[in-house]
Parts: sequence; structure tokens; C-alpha cells
Amino acid sequence: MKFLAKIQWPLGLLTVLVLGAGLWLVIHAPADYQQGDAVRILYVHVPAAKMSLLSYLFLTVVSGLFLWRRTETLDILAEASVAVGAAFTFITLASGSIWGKPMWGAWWAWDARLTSMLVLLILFMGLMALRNALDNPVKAARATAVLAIIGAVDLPIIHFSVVWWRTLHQPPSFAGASKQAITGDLLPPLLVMSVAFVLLGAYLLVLKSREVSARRQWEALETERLEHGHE
Amino acid sequence: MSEYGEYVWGVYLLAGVLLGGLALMWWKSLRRLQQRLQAAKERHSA
Repeated sequence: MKFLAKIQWPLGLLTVLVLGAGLWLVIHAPADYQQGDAVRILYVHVPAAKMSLLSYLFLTVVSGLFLWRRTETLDILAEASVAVGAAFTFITLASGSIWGKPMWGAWWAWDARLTSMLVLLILFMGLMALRNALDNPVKAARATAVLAIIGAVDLPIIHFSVVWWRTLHQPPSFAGASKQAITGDLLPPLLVMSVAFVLLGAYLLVLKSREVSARRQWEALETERLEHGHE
Repeated sequence: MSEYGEYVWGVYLLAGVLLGGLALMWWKSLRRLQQRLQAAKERHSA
């Protein structure tokens, strides 16, 4: 955790700088000839979606490592990544829904991409609920790690949903071969905002991990104090 | 921003409030816990 404390402020500063540059590019980017200014929603939606998947991928890796090594730091990172991932998944779904209203004429459609993304949000919330529901922290850590690994099956479904099925959702935004991929003047803000969201996600992960670690230390101290008080 | 301005502002406001709010909440909670831990350590060593 000392390493996380050391990198928190430089990472925060870098995040603010890159996010500022990204927002400047978003403001100065031209409107899309079909979507108009609504294309600016995608500069939040696409990076948030990438971060949702990246958070779950990170969660799967640390959960697997935790089941193998049983190190508390890995469980702390897993707990933190669930909170960060849930926030980005919620933003993905909300921004997609707000974009969908003017573009598709509907807030929501039971499309494969949207539904699999909703499943991801339910998974993140389920992981939080499971950890809170179990009193024994060792059992809670193990159970959430197992559920996180099982839930990873949703990742390829989300990623390939627009390829495997005929969906309302457009194909990948970064795929160069796709006719609907974002290119030209619209690409730089998307790339910079994507980097900014990765940095923001890393910053939030560092912050939440330190908070979880401090909370666990405090709870351990309180338990110890109460046990000694009863002796 | 003439077309769909309210939708665009809505998304940026939502993302800013949610992510900024979470960062602030976790930072405040971390500070509070660190102060409590420090006080407990001082009590223990006294």
C-alpha cells in the first residue's frame, strides 16, 4: 500500500492534465455530419465502456491470483476494482441510453450489447452484495473471487456481441476495417479521452484500495480493542 | 452546441458528478480513517 500512496498524487495530476486536454479536444472537435453534436457523448461512452471491461478483466486476474496466493493485498485490489468497475459500467449504460434517445428514438433496447453490459453491472453489484452479506471476511474474499472468475464469461460476450449477432448497437468504434469505426477529426478526442479514462480509473483504483486497506486496519483494531475490553 | 446540447451536457454532468463525487467521498473517508488510525496508535503507545 506504500507504493500506492507514493503514486497517488502524481497519478492524480497526470489524470487532470490528460483529462483537460481531452475535454479541450472534445469542445473543438467538429460535429458529426449525421449525429451532429450528439457524437460528443461517445467521447465519454466509449472510454467508459473500455474501462468497464478493463476493470472486470483486472478483477478476474487479481481474483485468480488471490485464490492461488491468498494475499490480502490482492483481495483489497479486487474489492476496489469492483467499486470502480461498477461506476464506469453505470456511466456506460447511462450515456448510451442518453445517446440512444435522439439517435435511435428510444432510451433502451434489449439488444445483445446493451443486455450483456447490463449483466456486467448486475455482476458488479452482486459482487458488492455478496461481500457485504458474508460476516466472515475470509469466506467473503474467497466467494467473491470465485463469482468474479465465473462472471468473466460475460466479457467475450460483451466484446463479440456486435460481431456474433445482428444488433442495433454499432460495431467496435476503434476497428479500422469497420465502416462505422470512428476516424478522421473525431478520432483524436476519442483517443485522448480513452487515455484520460484509463488514468482516471487507475487513480480511483489507487484511492479506493487505500481506503479499503485503512478501513480493514481500523476494523481489526476495533475488534482487538473490544476483545481486550471484554477480558 | 446547437443540436442535442441538453443530452451532451447531461452525459458530461452525470459522469463528472458521479466520478468526481466518488473520488471526493473515498478521499474524505481515507483521510478520516487515517486520522483515526493515527489516534489509535498514539493511544496504544501512550
